[in-house]
Amino acid sequence: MNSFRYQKAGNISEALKWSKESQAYYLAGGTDLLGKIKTERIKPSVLIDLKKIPGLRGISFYDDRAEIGPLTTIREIEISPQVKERLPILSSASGKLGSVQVRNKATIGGNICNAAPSAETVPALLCLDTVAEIVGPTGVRQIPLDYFFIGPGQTILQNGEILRKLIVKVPPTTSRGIYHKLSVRRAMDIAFVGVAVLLEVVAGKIAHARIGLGAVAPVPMRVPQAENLLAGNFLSKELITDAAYITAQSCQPISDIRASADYRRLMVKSLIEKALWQISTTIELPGGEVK
Amino acid sequence: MRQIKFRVNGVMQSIEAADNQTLLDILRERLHLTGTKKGCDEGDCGACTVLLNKQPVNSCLVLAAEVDGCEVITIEGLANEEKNDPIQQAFVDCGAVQCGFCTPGMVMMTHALLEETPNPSEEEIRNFMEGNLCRCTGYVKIVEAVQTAAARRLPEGGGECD
Ligand SMILES: Cc1cc2nc3c(=O)[nH]c(=O)nc-3n(C[C@H](O)[C@H](O)[C@H](O)COP(=O)(O)OP(=O)(O)OC[C@H]3O[C@@H](n4cnc5c(N)ncnc54)[C@H](O)[C@@H]3O)c2cc1C
Ligand code: FES
Ligand code: FES
Repeated sequence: MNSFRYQKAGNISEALKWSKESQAYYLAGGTDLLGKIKTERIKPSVLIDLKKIPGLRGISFYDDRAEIGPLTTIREIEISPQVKERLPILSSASGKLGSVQVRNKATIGGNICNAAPSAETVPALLCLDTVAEIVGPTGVRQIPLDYFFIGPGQTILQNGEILRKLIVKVPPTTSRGIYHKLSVRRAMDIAFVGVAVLLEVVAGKIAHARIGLGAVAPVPMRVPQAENLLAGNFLSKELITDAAYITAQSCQPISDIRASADYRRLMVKSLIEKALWQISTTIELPGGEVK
Repeated sequence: MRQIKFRVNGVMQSIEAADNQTLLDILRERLHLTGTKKGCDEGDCGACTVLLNKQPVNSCLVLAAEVDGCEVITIEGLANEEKNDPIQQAFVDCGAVQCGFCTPGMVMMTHALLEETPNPSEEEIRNFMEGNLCRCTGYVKIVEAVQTAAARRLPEGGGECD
């Protein structure tokens, strides 16, 4: 590995100060960063470890929201009983990232800030209306996660800004969420399609819909057209087909070593259909099951 | 260079390491604990698995500087000179070792799995160990070894391989 210095920040202002050095990088779990350093895709002068800064790790639940520290590991999120119960879609997506060993080190903040189009936790976080709280030299700002990504590996973070909190909406108990990941090898491979669907169903009718996609556009994305189509309606065979079609039309996949653009689009359509059918079997509809 | 103090297999160690050295490299090259293997050096194969504060991690993805004040257990920490650890013995008895390169990582993962799930199903075993690659065995004997190790640890005992 190329040489670099390692510095453990004790608080946010120390980290912000050190980040002014050219080629300074923040270190969370290092599972993305160390790979990039070893393959010389980046040459840091200094790694600023954020793990000892108080208050950046852990999950707290309030009535209708949860606050997640960015330094919380993916494994902590995966196995937390409260996350399993109240944010099952996030627990399930977390369990699909890498291996147990990787998840013990990888953090949710690192997954977001690394900004891979395939970032495992992001489609679920988009469905949960997540807000990112960011702290920088000029103060604190809150940005919906929908606006956080600007391209592969690129985020709105600037001037050494640090992601310091995730504010996640806890959906009502009448909600159903599903995350599907497709990868060439089931384990230990990044998604070539990630699909998250979250519906809130009241008396059989969809009150609120969210669809988040990963790996099928330059950034993880939501699909408002399909969400609007679903909201206010009863799940029917026709609605499922239409929502899946619109979703497949609105993504912008590329072809690469893992899959072609056409295949990705086709899989988006069938995974959305699958997720909606699966959800339809878990809710009570006035006219019985979806025909 | 910096001084790093950490507990390895129960013994306090204080060693000098460069900021860009990994935990894997200092275990193997400074402490001569060569049971921990370097396969891919990028998190894909699991051969370098150790327990860091009781949790399994890829030691190739941990900086030495990060473990200051931590507790690390390697494969050498499970067994002693005279006697195999029961998990190691189950791997031997079930024929789950061929070239043996993946074995230290597999044994460390089995240890971590049985601590949280004493009686895992085959699916739970395969999911928990999916970050450990084996080029020789085809995994069948490894799953059997984990099941055997689990059964031998249960109060009612039992658990022999086919
Ligand atoms: C074998 C293997 C398998 C993997 N499989 C998957 C997979 O299936 N799905 C997947 O999505 N990913 C996968 N990954 C990638 C990686 O593990 C995840 O993206 C992980 O969540 C990154 O988190 P980290 O804490 O390790 O980040 P780091 O490597 O520490 O940091 C990543 C980037 O984010 C920045 N950063 C981190 N935290 C902050 C913060 N709070 N504020 C500002 N910037 C910050 C860092 O400066 C760096 O640029 C895999 C990696 C490996 C090695
Ligand atoms: S050497 Fe660390 S995972 Fe392969
Ligand atoms: S026994 Fe040879 S790699 Fe597993």
